[in-house]
Parts: sequence; C-alpha cells; structure tokens
Amino acid sequence: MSRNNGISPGYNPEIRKFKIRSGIETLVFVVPALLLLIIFKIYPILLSFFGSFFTESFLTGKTLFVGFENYVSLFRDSIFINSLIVTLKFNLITTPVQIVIALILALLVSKPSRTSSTFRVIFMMPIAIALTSACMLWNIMLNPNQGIVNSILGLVGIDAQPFFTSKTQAMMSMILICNWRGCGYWMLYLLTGIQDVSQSVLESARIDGAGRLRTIWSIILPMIKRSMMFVVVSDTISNLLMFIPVHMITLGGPEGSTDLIMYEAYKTGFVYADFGKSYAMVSLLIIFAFAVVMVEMKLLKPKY
Amino acid sequence: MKKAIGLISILLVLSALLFAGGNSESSQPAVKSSSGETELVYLNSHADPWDGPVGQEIFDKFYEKYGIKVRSESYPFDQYMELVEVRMQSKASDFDVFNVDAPLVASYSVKGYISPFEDYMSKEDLENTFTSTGLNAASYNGKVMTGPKKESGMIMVYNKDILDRHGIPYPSSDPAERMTWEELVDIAAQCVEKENGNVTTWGLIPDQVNRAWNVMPIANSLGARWLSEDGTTATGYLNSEESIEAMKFYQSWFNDLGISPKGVATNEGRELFDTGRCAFIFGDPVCYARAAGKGLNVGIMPVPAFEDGVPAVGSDSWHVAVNAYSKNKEAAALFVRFITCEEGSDIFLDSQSNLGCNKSRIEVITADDYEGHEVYKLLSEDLDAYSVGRPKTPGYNEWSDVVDMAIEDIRNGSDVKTSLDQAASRIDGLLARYSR
Amino acid sequence: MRKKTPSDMILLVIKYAFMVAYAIFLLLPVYYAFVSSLRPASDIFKYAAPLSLRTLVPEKYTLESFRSLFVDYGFLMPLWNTAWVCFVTVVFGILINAMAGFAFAKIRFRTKTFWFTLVIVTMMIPFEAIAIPLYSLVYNLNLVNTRTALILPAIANGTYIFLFKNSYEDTPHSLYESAMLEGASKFMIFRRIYLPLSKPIMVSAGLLIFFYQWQSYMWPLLAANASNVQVIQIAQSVFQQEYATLWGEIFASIVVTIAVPLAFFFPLQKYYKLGISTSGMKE
Repeated sequence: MSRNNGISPGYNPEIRKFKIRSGIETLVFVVPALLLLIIFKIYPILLSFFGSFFTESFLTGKTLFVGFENYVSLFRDSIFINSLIVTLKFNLITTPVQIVIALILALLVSKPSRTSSTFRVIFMMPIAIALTSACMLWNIMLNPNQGIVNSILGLVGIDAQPFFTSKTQAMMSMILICNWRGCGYWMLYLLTGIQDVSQSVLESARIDGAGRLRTIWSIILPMIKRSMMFVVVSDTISNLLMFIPVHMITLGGPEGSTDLIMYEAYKTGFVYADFGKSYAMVSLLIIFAFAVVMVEMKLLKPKY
Repeated sequence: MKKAIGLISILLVLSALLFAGGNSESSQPAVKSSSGETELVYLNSHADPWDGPVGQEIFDKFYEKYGIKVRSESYPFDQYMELVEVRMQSKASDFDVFNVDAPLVASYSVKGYISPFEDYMSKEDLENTFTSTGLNAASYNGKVMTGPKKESGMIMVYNKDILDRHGIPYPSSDPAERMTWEELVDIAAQCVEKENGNVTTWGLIPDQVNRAWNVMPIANSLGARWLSEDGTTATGYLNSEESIEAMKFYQSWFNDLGISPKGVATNEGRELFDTGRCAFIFGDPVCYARAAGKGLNVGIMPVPAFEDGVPAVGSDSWHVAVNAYSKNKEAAALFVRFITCEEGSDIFLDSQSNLGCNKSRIEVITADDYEGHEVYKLLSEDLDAYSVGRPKTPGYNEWSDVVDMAIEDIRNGSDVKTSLDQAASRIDGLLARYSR
Repeated sequence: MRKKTPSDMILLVIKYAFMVAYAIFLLLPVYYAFVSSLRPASDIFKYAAPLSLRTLVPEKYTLESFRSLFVDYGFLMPLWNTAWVCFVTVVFGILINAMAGFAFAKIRFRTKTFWFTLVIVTMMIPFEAIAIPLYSLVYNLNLVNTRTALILPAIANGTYIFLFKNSYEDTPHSLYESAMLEGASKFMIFRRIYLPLSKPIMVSAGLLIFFYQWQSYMWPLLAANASNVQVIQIAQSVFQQEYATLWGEIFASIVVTIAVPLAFFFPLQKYYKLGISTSGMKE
C-alpha cells in the first residue's frame, strides 16, 4: 500500500495540524471494530493459546506448565492423526466442489430476468436455514430404514443406501449437507462480483467471437478475482472449522471416518475436560488455516 | 506518534467499556432477589419437569417450608454436561444446585465442583434414608458427595397389539419366569413386519440405543465388566471374551437377524416404539409410562438373561449436588434434601414414574395396594438382586464417549473384536491422565 | 438477438434441467419440514417408507403444531428477542465493519498490514475455542442473561470487514484522492460517497449478520438462557427432550424460523441487481 494520499511531507504547522486531525479521524474509523475484535476474539483466543501449554495434575490438584507436551502428545495419538487426515480429505473435496458449484450457479442466474431471479432466491434459500436445522432435516431424510431419500431411490429401482451408518458413505453424506447449505451462500458473494462485470464488456467479447467457456475463463473470472479471493478464503476457513454435522449426526463415526479435528478438539475440551490438549488442537488448526489462507491470498491477489 | 495515540486510546476505550459494562448491568441479580430474600438457582436439563407446573409446585412447597425461593435454569439434555463444564471452568457462583449424572460424581469430585452432601446430612441419616445402590452411586472415596434424586433399573416393555397380530402369548412379568435373550430374540424376529421390502414393524430396540448404560448389562449378563474395579483399565475387561460374545449377539440384531433398526438415535428409536412400530423395548422404566401415556397397549416383563448367564439390570441415575462455588451452600443443601428425600422428592418421582432411592417411599409404592406397584415391585426386586452400575472413574466421560462410539460402530456392522480392542486401548490412554 | 442454433437449444435445455434438478434438491428438505409441520403429530413418520402419495401430501392437515408452538410454548417472545438482537447487531455491525473496511481500503496508516492480518486471524477463531474465556469475560462484566451479551461479541466481524474492504478497493482510487484534495474530511467522504456506493454489500453483509444472529445457538445457550432473553434457537431446543421429542413443534418452529428471514429476502432482492460499477461509476 504505497499510494500517495495527496499530502506531501513537510514541517508546515498547517500540515501538521491537518495530520493530527487526519490521524484522529483514522482512529475513529478503525478503533471501534478493532477494539471489539480484541476484546471478544483476540483476548479470549490468547488465553486459550496460553492454556495449551498447561495441564491439570489430578494427584496434586495443581495446574502444571508442560511446554509443548500437549502438542507433542497429539502427534503420537493415532486418533488425532486420523482426524487430521479426515479433515484434510473433507476440505480437499468440499471447498473446491462448493466453489465450483457456487460459480456455476452464480453464472446461471447472473442475467437480470424473472426466471433468474426466481432461481436466485431458491438457490440462496438454504442460507435462511440454520445448519443445525439442516442437519436435523437431512439426518431424518437420509435415515437408512425409513428415510424419504431411500424411498425415492427405491422408486427408481436403486437399493436402499446406508448413508451415515456406513464408513464409505458417511463422509460423502456430510459433504452433501455442507454443500446443500453452502453453495448458495458462496454464490451470493460471487454474484455481486459477476454483476459488477458490465454487460458491455460481455457484449463486446461475444462480438469478438469468444465462446462461452472462454468468456468465463478470460473475462469474467479475472474480473471477479477479488470476490473469488474472499470466497476461497472464507470457505477454506469455514470448512476447516466445520463441526456441527459431526456433532449432530455422526459423532465422528463410523470407525472415525468423519472425525474432523474441530470435533475432536470440542470433545477433548468439553467432554473430556482436557482443555490443554483441546487448545493445542485448536491452535494447530488456526496456524494451519492461517498458512493456507496466506498462500491463497498471495496466489489470488488482484494485480492492478 | 500515531502509534502512541492509538495505543493510549485503545487502553482508554477498553477501560471505559469495561467500567460501563460493569455498572450499567449490575441490576442483574446473581444471588439475591430484588426483595433481599435468598434465591437459589437450580441448573438442570429438559429431561426433568422443572420448567413446568410440577417444578413450580415443588418450588412453591419449598418456599412455604423454608422461605427460600428457587429459580430453575433448564438446558437441553445433550448440551447439559458441556454447559456445566464451561460454567465450572469460570468458577461461576451464579447457580447453587445442579444435576449430576451418577457416574460423573467421581469426575466432579476430583475436579472440586461439588460441596459434599455429607457435610449437610449425617452419615447415619443418609444410611437410614437412602437405598444402598443410591448411596453407592453418590459416593466417591468413601464420601457421600451428592443426593440421589432418581433411580433407574431396567424393564422390558412389549406392545400387546403386535404380539396379538402374530399370535404370540404375553410373556410373564414374574422375575422367576425370566426369559433368556435367545428366546426373546426368536419372538422379536416373529414380530418383524415388512411391506415392499421395507420394514414397517421392528422386533426389538434398546431404549437408549447407542448408550453404554443400556447396552453394557447385556454383556454383564455373561459376566463381563467393562472397566477394572479401580477404574483405571479397560483392556482385558471391555474386550474380554464375554464382552465380545455379547456384543456379537447385539450386532446380530441389527444385521443378520434384522430385528432392530440401524441409523436411529435414541429419540427416534423411542419414537418407533411409541408409535407402535416396534414390538419390544428395554431400558429405563420410564419407557413403560411413556408408551402407556400415549395410549399404547403395553405390558412389562423382566429384562432377559443369557441362557448360561446371570440377570443384569443397569442401575444409577441422576443426582443433585451443591455447587462448590455457591454463596448459599446451606440453603442449597436444604433444597437438595427437599427434592431427594422430603415432600419435593415424592412429587418429583410421581411425575416421572420413578422408583427413586428413598427407602420409605419404596416401601409404600411396592406394596400390593399401591396402584402401579407391579412395575415398581419388579424394578425393586431386580435392583436388589441383579443391579450393575456404570464404572466409577474420574474419566467416566471419556469411557462412555469411547464405548458409545464402539457400540455404534458395532451396530453398523464393524468387526466386534477390533472395535472393542481399539476402544479399550483408547480408554486406557485417556485414563492415564488421572494418575499423574 | 442472435438466432438460436440447435446446439444452443440443447444447451438451454440442459441448463434449465440442471437448474430445476438443483432447485428440487434444495427445496426437498424445506418442503419436507413444511409438510410435516402440517401433519397431526402421530402421522409425521407414519408414511415415510415406502414412498407413496401419502409420503408427500398429508392425508390430514392441522395447525395444531403451530398453535402449540405459539400458545403453549410462547414462541412469540423468543421471536421478538431474536428480532431485537438481530436488528441491533445488523445496524451496528454494518456501520462499524464498513468503517473499518473503508479505513483498510483507502486510508494510509502505518500499522495497517499488522491490523489487517489481525482481522484475518479473527476470521479463523472457532467459537468453541473461546467459549470458556468469553463466558468468563461476560460473567465478570455481569452481562450473563442480557441481550447485550449476545450483541456485543457479534458486532465486529473480520469477514464483513474483509468484505467491505474488498468492495471499497474496487472503486477507483482517484475518486478518494480528488475528494481529499477538495478538503473533504474522511468522514464526509465515507458518508457521502462510499457508504451510498456500497449498498449491495451492505445488503449482503446485513443479511449475513442477520442470519448469523438468527441461527446462533451455542453462545446464546451459554450466555442467555433465562426465559426472558431466550432466542429462537434456544426456545427450539426445548422440543428435543430426553424422554420425548416434540416433532410437530420442531417442524413448525423450523418453518417459522425459515419463513421470517425469507420474508426479508424477497424485498431485498432488487439490490443485487446493482453492482458497484453499474451504479453510476465509471473508471
């Protein structure tokens, strides 16, 4: 950020006064938000982070400083390693699939017309439904014995599927729910981006004889880079921290196949009351998410 | 310069905000009600009737007797323990009495959450008032920590209409004519009804289908125990030969035999029975009152045992405790007494159709002239002779979490031995924390 | 308009087939909840399998679940509480996050990169990781069981700051510079030029803040469970009891909690048609 904001450096008292006024103005803009973030996000997470270096001793009733022991013990724990793999697998599938579907949906309904706007509302509708409610509804519908989805599959001659009760299908069923709710959400942001691409640019591209895919690839995508970066970053974060479907439906099973790290951390903290270890997991997750996001931001940074 | 201004203003606003927050909302009563009377806050879950008329009646009676007000704070059952954990970690004194699931007595005692009930009621009094199963569940390291509010015990409930449809005679409710599991499973299989390949009526389901409390007694019937007596080791217990055999049997209900449904949670399983779509359900006696209350034509029988095993019924239930951080411990202890062995207890237990742990009350409700004594009598006899409790360990939450997962995997068809072996070594690892 | 070739027609058919199929996929659970909320409690799961007309269309209709929801369980009170919490959070949330976004996009200050990185970090903090310190904080501030406890932590949010920053960066910098040269104060520039420009983003951010509060569960459960401050998600949780699940009320409450925000959705639709660059700005 090295743009000149119109003030040349110097020691003129007028300019100095202006600078102070300007500095106070800047503070008014950023302080309320930063202050709230510091109090309600940064301060608590720092406490949690410090907590990851401590453990309870039940024999002496004291809290002991153990350095990195909580972290080291995680990597010796096969359950944690499994949840690490599961989390990576979940993210590597969910995030790209969600973004591609969201982009397709956004492109399909971007033209201003009555049909598009009807579909737009339908596509966005899942945003209005809490993920907890969505999980509850889908869990009932995907019940292997009396779920409506199997009833529908039966109608077209497909055998009843086990869904959440099977090691091989549980993860996919979970991704299905996340996409059901997520695609419309991310479409919303891409849509605002696409609609910023003016119709005249698209028109001239068509006159130049650019095909559909080509128009999307070389005109629309570069122009919505900023929205895309936002969506990629936010979607990555939200999927890395995903936890509600596991908490509500699978509890990590069958056989650990849906055991996302965030759920493992939640359980270790709130059920096992081993907060040191739980915070160690979360800290690792945040550091990992931060690294991924930094890479994504670097790769997708708009150049102009 | 700018940096300094920024820092100073942040500090200023921060302190201003903290101050303002502290003052403007200080009208919130934490311990005293507006009139200056003591008001107790009672933390409980929606599983109990505290938010309804029954709760109000008990609170009113308590106020009449002791002049102390009680306010109920109810939470969803599934999040209750997490919430207790969060509030206890903050050493919150804004509640005085709270519900404790019996196996957590050890864990909460070790972590210092509970002010021992023994300090408010003499040992002699306690022993004269409560059943030994109740007191046993309430104790940790020889000290009575909590007041036993409920008792569970197990019965088998069957749907008479479904049995009629298949011409099956009603099983006897006499413990002396107890069925074997093998016989029961045969009968349950006859009750399964299908339509176009979809099961419309199931044979048998545990009341708490994926929870250790309901499933473990099946293994207990073969002599298995799922944790060592000292509460530290699962290997060799959870994965003993008897356990594996019992769990293979359990697995067959859901898989080879197809008499029990997969993929349903506890509430959905109950729903199946309560809407007449399952012939047998076994577990907490409340399943009888619940189904009968919905107009179902149901009967009771003792929980079966294996042909070459012994009967085993799950016991222990919810207790109440005084918060160690409470500012009204004496008053809180009075309330614990009131709802575990005084008038409050009777009103509460009647509303729950629960046996309870109060000796004098049990005498009354198991007598032949008491309406509904059959259920209580069966429960009380089985509890006296064959009760098994959940393991006592400070790591009960870990134990039950891992065991529940293993049971769920077994239900879904995972290899029984592998599941139990892994679960046992996982539990051993988690429990190691408590011995350092 | 160009003439449509056969391949265009095929593409169009595929496009609409896909859109309709996807719409059915999205609507199925909602329809299922809606239909279930109208059935008598005893019929809710009766016809789930095998599939027949009765599965999709109830034989008997009743508004009993809704009556019970509003009369027996007083659902209006939590609805009102939630609406209030949402309203205040949305108003302050838009203002404060837009201001911060503007500062990060347009104003030059020395520690900007550091603070913005901090903002990004706050996006990654899972609620479960801060539940205990946050509860302690709110408990010590004496804010437990107040609406303030629900509103304050939700106002500032990294995601929306990021969103506003993005949208303000999309505007040409010359606009800001020329306004500065004319001696306008930053606040003036923000209020007169940038705030009106970012209407579509304000609508999206507002909606998302609204939904965030509308749907939040764990924090209200911890911080505001007293009946006079209960929000809808908490009131809803009462229906899933240990010994009885009130399916009728659950479905009815799901329908209500979907219908209310959807009512907001439709009128706000038109704002999406205006992007920043199409609303009168030319580079």
